[in-house]
Amino acid sequence: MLTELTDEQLVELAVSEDREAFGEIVRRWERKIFALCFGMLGREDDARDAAQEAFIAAYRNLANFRGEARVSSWLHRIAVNQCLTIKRRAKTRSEEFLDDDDGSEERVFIAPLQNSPARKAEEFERLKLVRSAVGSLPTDLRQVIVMKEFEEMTFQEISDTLEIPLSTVKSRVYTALKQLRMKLERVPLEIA
Amino acid sequence: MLDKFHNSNSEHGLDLVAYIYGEMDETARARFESHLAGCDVCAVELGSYADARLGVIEWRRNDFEPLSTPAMIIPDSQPAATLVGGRPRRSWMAWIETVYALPGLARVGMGLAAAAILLGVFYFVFVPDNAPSSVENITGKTAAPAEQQKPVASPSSDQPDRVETAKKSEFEPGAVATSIHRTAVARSNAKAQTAALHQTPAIRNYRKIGPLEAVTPKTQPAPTLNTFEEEEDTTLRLSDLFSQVGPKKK
Repeated sequence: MLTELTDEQLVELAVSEDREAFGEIVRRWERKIFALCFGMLGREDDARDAAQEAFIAAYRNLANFRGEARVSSWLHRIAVNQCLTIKRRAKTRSEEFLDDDDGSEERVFIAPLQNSPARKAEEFERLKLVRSAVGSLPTDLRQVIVMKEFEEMTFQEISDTLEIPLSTVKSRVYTALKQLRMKLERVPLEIA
Repeated sequence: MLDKFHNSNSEHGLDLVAYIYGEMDETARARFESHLAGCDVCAVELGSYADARLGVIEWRRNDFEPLSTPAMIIPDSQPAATLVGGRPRRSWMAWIETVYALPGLARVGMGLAAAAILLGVFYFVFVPDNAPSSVENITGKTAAPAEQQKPVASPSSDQPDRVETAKKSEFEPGAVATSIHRTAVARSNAKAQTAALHQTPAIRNYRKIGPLEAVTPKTQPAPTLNTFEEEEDTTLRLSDLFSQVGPKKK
């Protein structure tokens, strides 16, 4: 059955106009690609559009797929390119984007009461700050942190997907965490 | 001192993230934990990185995990090359079927238009060239019957108005000699005009002759060229030409 085939075998079938084979590829990767797009863009609607356009672009370029690369690498590369395209488009339209937040807002986090409106408001602000911090990372750092946290891939899988050394993956994650820490650094209450 | 050691050691950061994400083997993890027990800097750093990571996890759990995976629309079953290449070509039968699918009035109109085009093509291809043209009827000129316009001689192809038609009177005694004489004069006129166009010094002498310049194609109506006897004979004769060009007789 199709579920027993590898991604590369499915692509070969899809190139020979087997629609079900490409459908199996979509079923395998749609959640991860959607997660990647969500982490890269920070918005649900943009992530949906990017994931959809990524699969359409993959289908249209099936004939150009060379077996040298992994299907996962190929799909991730297409999805990241779609995310960057959508992000550029959004910036052109001058829409409010997660990058537009300059992080100048107050960064004080007060221990809230459970399930209180203040608690929810603080959660909302904290998530907004996290989105802004992740969105302001360089693309290569953001990609590895999103693949790690949203797609829940191991370092080795990220290394295989991006076709970069394992140590490079760890180094990028380390750098990304360091930058996130700086952006999310708490400001002492007495100073605020 | 410990900070400098940690920052200069590239393995430290890699071990730290491997430990945070739980991707360290048992031996390496035990060694790293023993180091953490005595290193406050590493402990603080680990705590801050873990906090940053928890923020991302919280974001994922609150915003992403409740979302359902969107239904991806797989392109139609057409192959990729067709989707990229554009519309497929239609066959003739498809066009004919399209025409038959039109409303009745549109079909009648298209049929009449096609018939008009065919009639026009038939007219221009099969109607003979010597048929009376509508241009002659508009200008009021009546074309002479074909049997009355038998061309006898054509002095030159660029002077169609000089076509002489034979009449019964020209077959009388002496008429043939007169016709030959006139033909020779017409040829000499044509040569003189051609030479004048080239403007060679020798030809300029011929331009001094008055009757040669007076003869122009526009002055002689084509249908009435056969009335030489009624007009004043102003043409140049060979004898006149020889009397001016050749040696003078004493």
